[in-house]
Amino acid sequence: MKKRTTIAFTSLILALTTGLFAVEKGRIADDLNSYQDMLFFKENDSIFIYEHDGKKIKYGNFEEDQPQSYRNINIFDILYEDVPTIYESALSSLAKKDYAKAIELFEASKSQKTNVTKTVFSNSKNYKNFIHHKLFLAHMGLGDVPKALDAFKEAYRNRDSHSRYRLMVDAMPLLVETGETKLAIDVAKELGEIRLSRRETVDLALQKCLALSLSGKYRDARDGLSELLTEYGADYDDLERRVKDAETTIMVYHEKNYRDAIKHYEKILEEDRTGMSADDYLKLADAYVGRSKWEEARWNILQAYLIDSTGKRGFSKVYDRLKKVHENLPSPEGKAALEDFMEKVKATP
Amino acid sequence: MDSQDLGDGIVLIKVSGYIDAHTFEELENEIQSKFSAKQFKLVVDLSDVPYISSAGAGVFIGAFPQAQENDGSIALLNPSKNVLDVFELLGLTEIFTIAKDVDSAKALFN
Repeated sequence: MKKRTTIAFTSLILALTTGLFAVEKGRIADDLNSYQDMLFFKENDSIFIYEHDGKKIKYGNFEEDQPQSYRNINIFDILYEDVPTIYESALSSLAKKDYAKAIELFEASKSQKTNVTKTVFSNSKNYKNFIHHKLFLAHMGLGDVPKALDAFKEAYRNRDSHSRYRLMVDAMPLLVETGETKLAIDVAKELGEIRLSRRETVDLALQKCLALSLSGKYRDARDGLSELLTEYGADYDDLERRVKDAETTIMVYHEKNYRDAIKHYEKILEEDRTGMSADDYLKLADAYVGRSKWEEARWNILQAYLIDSTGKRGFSKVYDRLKKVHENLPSPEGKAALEDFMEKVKATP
Repeated sequence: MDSQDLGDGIVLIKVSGYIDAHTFEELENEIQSKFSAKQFKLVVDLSDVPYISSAGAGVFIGAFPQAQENDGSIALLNPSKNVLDVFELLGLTEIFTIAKDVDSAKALFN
């Protein structure tokens, strides 16, 4: 189940990057995703991929995952191509850090026309498009700076790389060290654009999860959020908080699973009260409203106000909620306390 | 951003320009002000919106349950191709109704 979700979500990211940014950002679309130029190797019933550094990883099972992965992505034209075994051997050498051997085999695979034993599918033009990127890594591994630089320039200029993003990230220190100032500036600018685009892609994927939840696909939404955090959590400091926020939004507003939402927040409150934001308190208040626990709702609304009394959180937006809580509060003291707060909210522009 | 009462409790909100991280709050506030005024049947005209970002899509995703909870909904009027592409990729065309003109948007609420 986990694997299926992973693959589905990777496909989602892929669809978002290639699809959306083709719309919005033009060529940057081609460079965003490290899987963009991925070759898929079929071996028996399995699909394998090689990462940019030659590491071989199992991607899924051909029969069940390949149709699922691609059926829904019409923007992804699958091309079948022949790849010589020597290319795979070269990748393997690269992964083993046998750089000299890798260079020899990659150079040989440039002109390889026979001994084709593998048919793979790919969204790229040709496996040969990746070779300069691989050679760059291998020459870097050997410490051969001039040749690494030549291979980088070739890959960069021709926009041929396994992952343009990875290529540029890996090359940046070399460009600075070798005084390739103009190229370094160009690469830095492009990296900046791509990073912005990557961030937007992650944000879109998060919204996609919420959209799945709105459609009632709560489990898919949660799996997607979890996957998003696993894949990109290390890159963005705020992502964990935003994913948790999305999870509680799903619980309270989409699924209306108030009981679990309350449990979730109670646990946070027990562990670390500072982990609750004004939004969290408001959400918890809504969960209590859902359970007709008016005093608890009131208390949490006031907690939210204590944390952020500036009105930045838009308390005026929750005036209806306050009125509902107020109407249902059993205790006169509670009503009075809330009335005071409601007056303040009313006065907030 | 302009709004217009279409009758039968339906309100048309006309949005222009990008809806992105810099502008989404304006739309969010406009929608919330309609909700505060007990107007939960919204038609949002997106014909003059050339681009919508994740933040913009988030406004619609966030507002939709609130509209539904109050027997309302949100219809999107005439989104540009770029905006429609974003909505399609996010699966939002299955959630929001897309209308080509005001009359068909109004009819959705009946």
